[in-house]
Amino acid sequence: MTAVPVSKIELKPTRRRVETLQILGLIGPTALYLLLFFVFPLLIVFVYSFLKRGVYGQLVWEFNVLNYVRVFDTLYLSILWRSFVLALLNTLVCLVLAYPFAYYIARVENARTRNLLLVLIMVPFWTNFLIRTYAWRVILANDGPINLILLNTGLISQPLQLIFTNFAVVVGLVYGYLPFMVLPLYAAIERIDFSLMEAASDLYANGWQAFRKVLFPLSMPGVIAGSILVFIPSLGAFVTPDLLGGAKTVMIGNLIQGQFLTSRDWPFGSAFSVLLMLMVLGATLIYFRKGGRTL
Amino acid sequence: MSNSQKQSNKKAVSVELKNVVKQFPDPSGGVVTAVDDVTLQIYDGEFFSLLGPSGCGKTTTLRMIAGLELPSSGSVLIHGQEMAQEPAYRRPVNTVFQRYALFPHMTVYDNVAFGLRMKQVAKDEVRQRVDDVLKLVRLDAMGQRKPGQLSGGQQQRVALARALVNNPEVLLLDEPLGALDLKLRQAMQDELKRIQQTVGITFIYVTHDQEEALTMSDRIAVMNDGRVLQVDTPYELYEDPESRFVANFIGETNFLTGKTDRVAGSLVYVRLDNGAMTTIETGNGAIGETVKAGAAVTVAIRPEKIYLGRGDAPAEADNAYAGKVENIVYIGTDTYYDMDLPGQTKVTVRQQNQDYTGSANTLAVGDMGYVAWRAHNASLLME
Repeated sequence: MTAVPVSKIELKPTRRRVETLQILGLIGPTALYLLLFFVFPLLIVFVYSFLKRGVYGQLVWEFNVLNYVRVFDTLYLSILWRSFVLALLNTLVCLVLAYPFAYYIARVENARTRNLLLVLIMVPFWTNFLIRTYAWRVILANDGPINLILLNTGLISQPLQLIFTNFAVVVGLVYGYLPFMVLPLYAAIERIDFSLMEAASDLYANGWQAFRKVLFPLSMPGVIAGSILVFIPSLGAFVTPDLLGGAKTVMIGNLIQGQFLTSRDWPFGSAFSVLLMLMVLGATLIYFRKGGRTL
Repeated sequence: MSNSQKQSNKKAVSVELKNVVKQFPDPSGGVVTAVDDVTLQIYDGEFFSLLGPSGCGKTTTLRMIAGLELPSSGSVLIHGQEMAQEPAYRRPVNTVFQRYALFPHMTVYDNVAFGLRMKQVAKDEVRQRVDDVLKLVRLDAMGQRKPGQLSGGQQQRVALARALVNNPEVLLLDEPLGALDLKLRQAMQDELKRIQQTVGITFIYVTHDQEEALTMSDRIAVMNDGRVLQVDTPYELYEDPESRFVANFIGETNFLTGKTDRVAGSLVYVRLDNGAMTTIETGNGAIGETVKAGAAVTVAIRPEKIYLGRGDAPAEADNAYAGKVENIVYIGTDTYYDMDLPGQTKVTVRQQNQDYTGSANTLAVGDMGYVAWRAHNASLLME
């Protein structure tokens, strides 16, 4: 029997058409949806960012870059900077809290215990995010449980200002995004062959050294995925800073929301949106590059 | 170690296990005893194997020497130092893991240098020693590759180099050739033996492959159910197994049960269950002190030590019994004959095909013939 080289096999035209239809059928609906409700609005935002605001908040079709120039006002730069720092801080805190937990779940031998722990991570999603954030407002309030306990035990004489601070924003962000860090970390650590840790230990590495030289580098895919999943949405977060940060701790998300809804300056809000996207894109690319080297 | 013990051993003891027990919690709430009261002495420079079926506790024993598992009770001494509760990274031993456990994110060079760097050896010395050991395992050109780019045999050699470079007092090998195919495995056996002789380090080798253990080891401990059944040289283990398990696990054996009839010096006369008498010559002189007349015993005789003859047994032959050929299995180098002796007794004979010419000059199924063996070739098992 002689084998026919693969390249010589001619697909019948009807066969090819069937395959094209199959591909369209599989990705078509999603592609169409994203095109209509994501790409198209994005283009609108991009175009609006070069327009002018009219006296009554209407759009004036005069192309200019003044919206982008305005961003360099120190007020806006400080908001950008604060957003960036808070998002980064949130990512770091999530990483530090999630890593040991994810490691523990990955190492649990009993499958039922492991599944239970994974489900527990999901449990908060059963309640609306807004409601959970309001709950934090109660917890951190001046007459909230934390202050009451501290006052009653005599540790403090004046209530601590917890709510409406950067601290409250980070607490709220960490609370909201921790699961997005745990899950990719768990997936990455679970795949690591534990005998590598034994090999490190056999080669004179103590626990910390084995972690630093072997476990952590090998879990980088999870660290990167988790960090991106946490950093990006927290950079544009607006519910948490709005409810827990008050008027003083404004982040980009609040600023954009304000421009669109309160100031009715859609062109400036659009410019800020485009800028936020560029920041996220830049940060992600740098992170991937850096991470890519260690992989 | 006490002085009296030191004097009684000619060679210096490298690793000593004293009454080592390892118990694991069992999912149903009980305990599983993986290693049950193991006592062993392994000498300096020795190639020592732990041999047994899977689940016999050999790997757990090795891991307790490595420090990857801590014993529930008992002592682990390395060159006289108590190490039983020391973590792995404080022990002067290194391990070659079963599936190599090479760090996939590091180059071959960095893998091998890992232990030296952890010990903060000077950079120049690290380079020198890594280069030397890569040469020893014939991988000097592979230093900058990642483990994923190497073949199984090469990965195996990296694992060996990564352990050897640290000059451990003892090298532990956990079925290191298990994942390789037959040809490569045989080549690596020679290579391992060569390397062991070059570096002179004590090797403790875990395997379930009896042939591998026989080929490579100076001494072998045969384990089953968490216990050590016999520790001996390959020759002693094969020729003089002390238990049915050892006789059966290493090589092939015919077992014939019976009762001792009388004992005369090193000769033991056994009345087999089928009524026939057989004579066993034991190696260790005054066996009469341990064997009592009338005791239930098993006689073990290797198939290749049985002579197969045609016609009637000659009168002068030792332990000769007439039998009928029940089955013949030709396996290339040898031929097996299943012989049916009177009284529902069966023995298998293995004959080398030195001058095999088909059925013309050999027995065929259904033919009558006889089997015979020399008294010193049979072993007496007290069970």
